[in-house]
Amino acid sequence: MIETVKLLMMDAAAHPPDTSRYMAAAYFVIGTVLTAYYLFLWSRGRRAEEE
Amino acid sequence: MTETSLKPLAWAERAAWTAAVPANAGALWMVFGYAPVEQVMGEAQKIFYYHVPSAVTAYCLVFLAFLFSALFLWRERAIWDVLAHASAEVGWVFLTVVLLTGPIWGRSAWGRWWVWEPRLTTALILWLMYTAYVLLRLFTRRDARSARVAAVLAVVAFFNVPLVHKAVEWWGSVVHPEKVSLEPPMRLTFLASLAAVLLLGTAFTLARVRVGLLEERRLARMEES
Repeated sequence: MIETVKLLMMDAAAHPPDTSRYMAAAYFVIGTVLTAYYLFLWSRGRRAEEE
Repeated sequence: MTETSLKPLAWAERAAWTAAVPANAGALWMVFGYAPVEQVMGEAQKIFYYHVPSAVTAYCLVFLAFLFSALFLWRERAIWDVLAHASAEVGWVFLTVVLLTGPIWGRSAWGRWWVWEPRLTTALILWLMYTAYVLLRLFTRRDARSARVAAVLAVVAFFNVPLVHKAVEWWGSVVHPEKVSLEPPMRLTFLASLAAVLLLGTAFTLARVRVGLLEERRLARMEES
């Protein structure tokens, strides 16, 4: 398994992808998950306060 | 517990958000504008600055969930259950962030979204256990029995955390190094991100506790009427 991962890493290093796309995708995911959870909590809080 | 005043909690929550928002803005500026680009992994290495702090925050929160669940099993006071539920749920959100950003980084660094290596596998098991906890709380009645079952699950699930932490040391991995050495600007950026994400976790947890207490009050009012 470790040898396979090493080969994959060497292959990835030989053909470097556009790494900024992955960085942007990761930060987009982080922002989306945390914003969605914030909105979920906010709406639950509002509902609980109103009732 | 229904008599508990929520004002100090609301104040603490506001203070936490007031600290967390600028802290994260500053941390993001450091990630994108200050930290140098790593030579081997390129821009994708910057995922590290939120991936690892999210994992640390999740570990802290699931530890709190373990602690409050143990206290609930011992004393059966509803407040411990509210605190355990809030910590576990917010911890699960941060674990989700870790499990979503890790594969994106992995795809860039070693060309694969997922590899069944020890840390990834144990982290997935941990996430599944807390997913079970969140679903259990979501789809069961709010009573002492389901709270006890959830508390047992939170206590048992926490014992997976040392396995995730020690997985690399015990079973080896080329994907996750045992120790990471960072250049000074990278270390400073990491510490800023760590503080920012911990503050964010605190703000979310306080918000979740407030919502939990509000819902408990509503439930108590409904039972009275």
